[in-house]
Formats: sequence, C-alpha cells, structure tokens
Amino acid sequence: FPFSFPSHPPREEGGPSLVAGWGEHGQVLEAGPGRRQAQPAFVPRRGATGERWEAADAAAVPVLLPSAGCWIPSPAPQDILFRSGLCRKLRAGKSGATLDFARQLGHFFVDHPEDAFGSLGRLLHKNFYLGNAKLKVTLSRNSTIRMTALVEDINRLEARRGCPRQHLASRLRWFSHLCRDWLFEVPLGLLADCLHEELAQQWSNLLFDDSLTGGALAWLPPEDGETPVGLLVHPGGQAMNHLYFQDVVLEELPHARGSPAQFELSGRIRQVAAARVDGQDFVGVRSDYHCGVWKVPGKTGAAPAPLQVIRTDVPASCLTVSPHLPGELSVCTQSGTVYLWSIETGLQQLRHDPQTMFFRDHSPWRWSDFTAHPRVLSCADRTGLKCLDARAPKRCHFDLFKVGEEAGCQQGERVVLPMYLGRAHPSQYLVTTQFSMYVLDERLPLVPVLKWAHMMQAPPLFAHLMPGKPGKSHKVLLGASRTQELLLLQYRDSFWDVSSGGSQSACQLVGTPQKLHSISGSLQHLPTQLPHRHHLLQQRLSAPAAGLAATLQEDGPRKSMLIFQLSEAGDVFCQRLIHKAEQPPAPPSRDTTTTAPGSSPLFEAPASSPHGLGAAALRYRRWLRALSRAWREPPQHTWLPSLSQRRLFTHRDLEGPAGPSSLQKQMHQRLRQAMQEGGRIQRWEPLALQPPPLPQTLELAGGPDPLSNRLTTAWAGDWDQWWEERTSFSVAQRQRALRERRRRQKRAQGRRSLSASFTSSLTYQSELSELSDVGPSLLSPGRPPILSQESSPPAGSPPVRSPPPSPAPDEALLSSQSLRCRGIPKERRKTLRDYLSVWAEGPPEPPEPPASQASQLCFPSSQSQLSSASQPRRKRPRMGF
Amino acid sequence: GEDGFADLAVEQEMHGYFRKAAVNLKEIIKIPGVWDVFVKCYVDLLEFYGDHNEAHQVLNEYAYNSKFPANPNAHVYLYHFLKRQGESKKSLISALKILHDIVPSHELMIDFNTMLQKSKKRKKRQLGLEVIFAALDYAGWKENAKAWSCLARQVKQIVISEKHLDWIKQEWNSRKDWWPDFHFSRYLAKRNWQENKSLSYEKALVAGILLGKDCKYFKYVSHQGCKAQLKRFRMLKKIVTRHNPVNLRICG
Repeated sequence: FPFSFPSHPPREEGGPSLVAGWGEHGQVLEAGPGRRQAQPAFVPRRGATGERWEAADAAAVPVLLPSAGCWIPSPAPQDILFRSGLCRKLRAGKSGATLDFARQLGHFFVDHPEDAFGSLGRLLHKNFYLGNAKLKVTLSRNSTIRMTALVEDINRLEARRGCPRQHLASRLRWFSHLCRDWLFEVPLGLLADCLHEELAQQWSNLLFDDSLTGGALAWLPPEDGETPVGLLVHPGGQAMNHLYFQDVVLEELPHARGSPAQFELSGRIRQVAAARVDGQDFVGVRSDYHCGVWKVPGKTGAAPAPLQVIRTDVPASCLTVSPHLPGELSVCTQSGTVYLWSIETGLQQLRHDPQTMFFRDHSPWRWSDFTAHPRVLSCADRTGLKCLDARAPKRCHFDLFKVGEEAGCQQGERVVLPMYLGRAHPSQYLVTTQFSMYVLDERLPLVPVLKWAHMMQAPPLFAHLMPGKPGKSHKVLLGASRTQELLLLQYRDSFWDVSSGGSQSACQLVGTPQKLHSISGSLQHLPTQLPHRHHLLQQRLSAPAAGLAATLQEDGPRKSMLIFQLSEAGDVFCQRLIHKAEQPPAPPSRDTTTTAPGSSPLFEAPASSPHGLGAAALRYRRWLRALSRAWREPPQHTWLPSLSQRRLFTHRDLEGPAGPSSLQKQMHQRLRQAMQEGGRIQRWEPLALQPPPLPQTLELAGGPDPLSNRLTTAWAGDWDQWWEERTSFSVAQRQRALRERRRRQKRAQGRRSLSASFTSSLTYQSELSELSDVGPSLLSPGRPPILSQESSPPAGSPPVRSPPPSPAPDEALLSSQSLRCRGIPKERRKTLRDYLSVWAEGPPEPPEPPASQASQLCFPSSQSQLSSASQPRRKRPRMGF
Repeated sequence: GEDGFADLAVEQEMHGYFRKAAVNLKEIIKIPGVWDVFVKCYVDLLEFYGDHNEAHQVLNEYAYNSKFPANPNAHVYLYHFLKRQGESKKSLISALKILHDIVPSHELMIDFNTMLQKSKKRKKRQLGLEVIFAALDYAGWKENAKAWSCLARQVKQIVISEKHLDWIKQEWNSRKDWWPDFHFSRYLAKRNWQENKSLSYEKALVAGILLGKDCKYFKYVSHQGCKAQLKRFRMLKKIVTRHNPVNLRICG
C-alpha cells in the first residue's frame, strides 16, 4: 500500500495531493481472474467479494422481558431548551440552542425552598402575612406586611406559564429588584453560574454523550463451544444501576434461562467490558465514580464473583480488561490519568496529563487499551493514540495514531473509540472517528493499514470484533448511540508470508458494509397501538443505544451471527444474520421504506411455521404485554393532580355576583360555540351574530360521510344528540334546543341551592365549562382577540370536541369567596376543592384527553394538568444540585 | 540474423521503458511515505540490470531516512537484499538489529537469534537471548514452537555450562511478575499439552529452569509426559531436577 507520509496537520479538503493520487491504493482496481498481475500484486482497498450475511427476521427481537419498574427517560431537548413563540422568533435568525435557564432555576426554588431561602425565610416569616383577611390592628402591625397580592401575582404567573401574552406584573418586578441581593441562601450569581454550567453540560451530553463509550453490554460465549448457553452481562433497573448476569440459550431466537445473578451498584453503569483469560471471564464495570471487576468461572452455571472495586475522585471515562493477564485492567479518568489496575498489586499510575497529546482539544475524555505486549498499553484522547510501556512509562512510548495528515484525516476529525483487535491480529488496532474507521498496525504506527469512511450519522461509540478463521474475513460491528445505527464491516488482515521473510500488505475491506436493524426500526412492524401507547412505545424503542455485543454461531454448515443491542431503557434486542453461501452478489434487497403498521413480514404467518405466527412475532407479543403491564402499574410517587382555582383567577375575577352584561354573555356563547366546533373567531364584532363559515379544511377533518361523522360525535360523547339532529327538522330542532336550554337553566338554579351541602353533583364537565366561561374575561380588551386552533388533531384520530357547554354562565363558582358566601367553613373549603379536583380527573383512562384545543392557548397549565392525569407523568428534569 | 535484430529492438524498447520507469520511481520514492511496492519493483529492476550499488543506495535511503515513517518493511527489504548479495554476517546483523529495535516481534527475529547464537562473541550471544525473550513477550508469539525451542536451547546451554547465568537473571527480573501468568499457567499447560506436545516440552523446560520444579506448568507437563511414557519428558525431568539449584540463583 504505497502511501505518502506528510507530517503536518490536516489540510482542507480539495487541496492538491502530493503525488496526484499516484500509488494511493484507493484507486487500484481489483485484478480480475483473467488478468495477470506481476508480483507483488496491487491490492485494492476494497474487495468486491465478501461473505454475504442476511437478516433472518424483519426486525430486531427483544431477548428479555422489560423490567417491571418504569423507566425514567433521560432529559430530552425540549426539557432543556427554551421554547416559546417569542423565542422561536428571536432564534430564527441565529443558530445554536437557547437553554431554558429560568425554568430550571425556578424548578430549583420550588423543589428545594429550604436550600434556596431557608434562613431568611425563617427570619422573615413573622413579618410577612399571606392570609386573605385584613391585617388585624395589633402591636405587630408595624412590622408585618401583607404579601397576599404578591403571592397571587406569582400564582397567576405560574398558571399562565407559556402564555405568549404573559406580562410581568410590576409588583413582582419591584419585589425582585428589592430583594435579589439578600433573599437567597446561595448567592444568586453563584447559583446561576453553577446551573448554567450544568445546563450547558447536559446539553452537550445530549448532543454527544461520550460517557457511554465502549458500551454496557457484554456477551460471554460458552467455554467449550458445545453447549449453546452463554452469559449476557447487562445493566438494568430504573437507574441502570443493577448488574445482571443472565444465562441465554442460543436457539433460533435466543432466550433467557433461569433468573439472572444480580448485583446492585451505587451508580449508573456506563460501561461493561469483558475479556477471557485462561478460560475465565473477567468483567469490568464502570460507573462514574466507581469501577469494579467480576470473575466468571469458565464452567457454565458457576456464579460470578465480585473481586475488587475502586473509587475515583474524577469520573472514569474508560475501563478495559486485559486479554493477556488475569485480573488486569486499565482505567482512565477525565483528569487525564491512566492507571494499570491489577487485582493483586493495585493501581499503578502510568500517565498523568490534563492536556491532550498532539494538539489542544477541550474534551476530558481519555481511553486506554491493551496491545500485543502485555506490558504496553495504549492511551488515547480525542487527538490520537500513544503506546506506553508500563515498566517505564516516562521513557518508553511511541505514537500510534495522530489526527493529522499522516492518516489522511479531515479537519475537525476526532478519535471516538479505539479498540485493540488482538483476537483478529495481535498487532492491529481499530480507531473510529466520527467520519471514518481506521485499522492500524502497531509495527507501522501512524500510517493506517485500512481506512474507510463509515458514513454513519452519529459517531460510533461501540464496536465489536468477531475474528474470522485464518483466510476468512474478520467482522467488525460499529454502533452509534443516539441514532441506534449498526454497521457490519468485513475486512481481511494483511497476508503474512513467512517464507518470504514477512512481507506486509495492507488490509482490505471485503464486501459491502451492511446496515443492520436498529431497535427503533421494529416499531413499524408492531401492531397498531392506541395513540398514547404508540407514543410511549416509540419513546421506549427510540431510546439511545447503550451497548453492543455479538457472537458467531456455527452449526455444521449453517453459520449465523447473533447481534445484541442494549438501549438506555434497559431493553436488550437481538437480531440474527444468516450466512449465505457463495452466490452472485445481488443488490441489497433490504427495503427501508416504511411498511404499514401491523402489516409487516414479522407478523405474517411464515409458511414453514406450524403455529401460524413466527417465533419473533410471539416474542413481541409477550414483550408488549409485559410492557403494557408495567405501564399500567401506577408509578409509586405520583401525586394526585389537584386543580386550584386560586392559581387561575384573580381576586377580582372571582367576585362573581355582578352578572355579566348581555354583550359578555353573547361573547361567552360565541366563544363556547367556536371551541365546540373547533373553529376560530375571526373578529369580535358584536353585531355579527352568525359565526363565520367554517373553513373548508375543518369540514374535511370532520369527515364528509355520515359514518365518520357519527363516529366522531360518538367519540365526543353526544351520539344521541347527533341522532336526533339527523332525524328532526331544523326548526323543530331549534325549538327543542330552546326548550332544553330553559330546562337546564332551571335545573342549574335548583342545583345552586343544593350545592351548599357536600352532595354536589357537579361533574367534570361543568368544571371544564367553568374554565371556558371565564376564558374571555381573562383576555384584556387591548389585545387582538383572535383565537385560533393551535394544533390540528393528529391525522387518523377523530377530531376532538369539547364537552357540551354548561348552560348558565353564572354557574356556581367554587372560589373561596363563593364558598364562604355559602357558609362553608374555611378549613373545609380546601377539602371541597380537592374533592372536586379529583372529580376533575374524569374517566380513569380516556384514550385522548377530551380537551379543547382552542382553550389550550389560554389555560396551558390547567389543561396539561387535566390531561396528564391519565398518563404517567413525565418527570421534569432537575439539575443535579 | 533477423531474429537477433528483432530481439535487440525489443530489448532496446524494454530498456527504454526501464529508464522511464526508473526515473519516475526514483522521484516518487524521494517523497517521504510508504512506498513498499514501488521500492520493491524498483530494486527488482535495478538488480535485473545489475545496478546493485544503486539498489543498495535506494534501500539504505528508504530504511534510514529519518523523514520517512519508521517502516519495518524497509529494513526487511534491505536485509533480504544484503542476504542475496552475500554480504557479511556483520552487516546482516546490523540490519536486523535495527529491525529488532523497531519491531521486536518481527518474524525475522528467529533468524536473528539463530545467527547471534552461532556467534562466538559473548555480547552477541547475550543479545540473542535478549531478542528471543523480547519476541516471546508478545501475544502473537505465545504458541510459536520454533521461538520456544530457540529459547529452550539457549537457556539449557547456559544452565548446563553454568556460565552467564546472570544474563538469564537480568532478562527474567523484568518478567518474573507477569510471565508465570502469561505463559506458565496451569490452564495453558493443559491446552498446550492437548494441542502441541513439542511446544509444551520446550515451554516446560524453560518453566522448569526459570521457576523451579514446583512450577505448575512444569509439574503438569512432566507428569503427563511420564504417564504417556515419552522418553523426552523423562529426560526433561532429570535436567530440571539436576539443575534446580540454578533456579535459586536466578531468582535470588
């Protein structure tokens, strides 16, 4: 492999090549069988014929049942980023994300009030009065101020969060100016700095999380290769802090056998590394501040035994297990220290350098691995790799790989994962960057013997090697985390010709790199789910990948490859590839087009299967059932959502007795009607009594045919009304409506007299209609009173209607004011409100919360509280204080 | 007559091609890089036309120019060229010495070791021991029977003559904390015995001398050997038992 060896930093793309491409083996064509080539033969970088592997199933199949505990998803971009209409407008011009700093700081104040204002709160609580009543004329009057209005302002602010019309009350502004300097326990500036740093860190983790490098899944193959039972080592549990050693039987579909050996650790497991030395498996486990090592004896069924644990002050970024010596590992920390860790002799520091090796890079990520010599370790950072001799680490070292022109790197290219390929060739090394994969030979450092642009969307954080027999190709699997990509590459290492005294030629990539199924790809093959189930399932299946393992299985002439993939939710999925005998290379037949949900080859009955359904489909059925069981179990620590009206309305709003004017009534009615129809009110002209014709699109959404119309109304709950509408004439209908209205008014009055007792028959719907009743009065007249549909209902689900409005606009308001009027004692008012808010939850599990889309603009918090009652609450991400 | 004339024309044409190729190759090889294929072809051409001096110079330049990456193949080519030319042992050894410094795990190290063992100079023989020990450090050589027999022969020689025991001691000092686990574990003894009896014989000899007769590897292999009634292994036991005091001196 002729190769020019310039030694300067990477040039920009398109620069003139030194020898105009002469001799660069990228351009060499493979010699056909008919053409003779002189010795030594030129070897092209990529050979055309490789082994063919085809997926046995249409999608990856779950290996283990989902764990019972509910999974807490890691923060998503929408949790950290600032989102509001105003901001989106501001951000349209500039690139880069805006972190929602204020919201997180607010979370801190609400969640940890003791830590935020503890001592001053205690000092001042006598001087602040928060009650509703007028301050009594007492001696303390001079030293007490009434803060009720301020608290109400704050509560209102909370209720209107996200509302684009929200304006800061001047009172609040004044108060925060006054006390910003002294109120907080931790100085605000300091706190803000820390929070901002943490937020930025979380955001960068979200963009690229290198703590997962190496992957947290290991497969320990059976010792003798006869019994098809291996051990799968994987993390699990809610916080991924349980380590499982699970026996897995490799059959057509691998399945778990018995219950796993389980260890609870004190941190989230980031990496599981394993190596086999002298017939024993050593498993290294890395969490942020702890690393541990387990020994698994070779005999099947023997229990794994923990050997040793070390604690680090700085998060560890790497743990690798020596393939040469039992009980030796290498550990790197983010402070730039590399240790050789031996179970017998403890830690030996090999290197400490907080700076990166070849040029400056800000990343604290370090990696280290073993080499062909058991006493020589490689250590890596984002800029390259070095090899150190553990016996004299200061003196004996050499550069193995450098991000630079030597290896033909691009600008901005960084090392992502190095891996020792010792099982394939004792002196070879794999280095992946975000653009390419390189195979290096430590005998000829700096010059890669193979380079290939992998073209993955996300940098490959996981790699797995399956060495081939002599003369066969080695298989390398690359896996990315966020996008769950999996890529299968085959390469043939250099041909060692001992008789000629060792001539060395470059490695060759054989066959086409092959993209494999990802976990999230199986979603399209699953049966159709209810929309919210679908969403949860989608969230679960598209969790970032956290590990990768694979094994080759030879069963006589049949060869197959099993690939395990772990997701951050703790699910382990598996896919089988079957080796196809020599055939003319066909174009890749995998179609990536989406099949209709539910109608996939996975769930079609294969002709060969006697049961009618494939094993994979049955496996999915069981997995989905277990998953939905886990969802149904109510999370332990959810609180009942309570709806307090105090947060929604001002004092004045609740002073209801003065009835609304006729104009207001009219407006209420129109607004209600518009909300019911899902339409919009173009203009608030009082004279235009007829609502403007609905846009055509809405008609379409409702469905032109009577059947879908009927279904839609049935969904909304007033199917009988629809039937009557259909049967009666419009005049009769109008008369009936009038009668009905009068009747209801009467009933409402009757109810009002009853409501003093606790046998209130108020329902969820009247509660909702209250909200919509007061809606317009919250809008100040100065702003353009245009209500529009904020988002259209998802396609496929019927348009959602608001429940029928309550007839009387002066329906009993459950304010403390009105309750007091009715003589309900103060201490019971809260109980009543709570009681009613429980009612407000509505039916136990409506498939879609019957919430009016139009009202969302005004009552985002109240609506979300209502709708989230039926769904498991998504945890707000909290910063790690 | 005419045939000869045509041959001459062809020859002249070929020579023209050679000169053209030589000029191009020479220019390319001047640029720092890995030009293995080109260098090999160029040297072949030069040798064919009898320009051995130029070939030597090209290979020297390719191997020793510090601007080029440290390419073990350059030294291999030089060594093979020198061997073809029948150069002196001394120049061969110096070429391989550099190869040893760059890649101690190179295949040619066995040749190098044999060459050094035959040498009369003590220094060279010591270097030979160093070379073979260094090669066996590498995982790729773990099961190389040839290398183990080289080591076993030399170690046996030293022990029987009881001269230069300090050479072994010096090499062993930096390895005694990890070679036993790396090479002489009981697991490996079992496996080597099953897979390659002569390898296990050589290794058992080295293990017996370096670690004494109580070493797990030696015990297992000699026991199995005696059970199988192999004469070789009975001899092995005798040698090791007789020279067991030597082991104390190596370790002490």
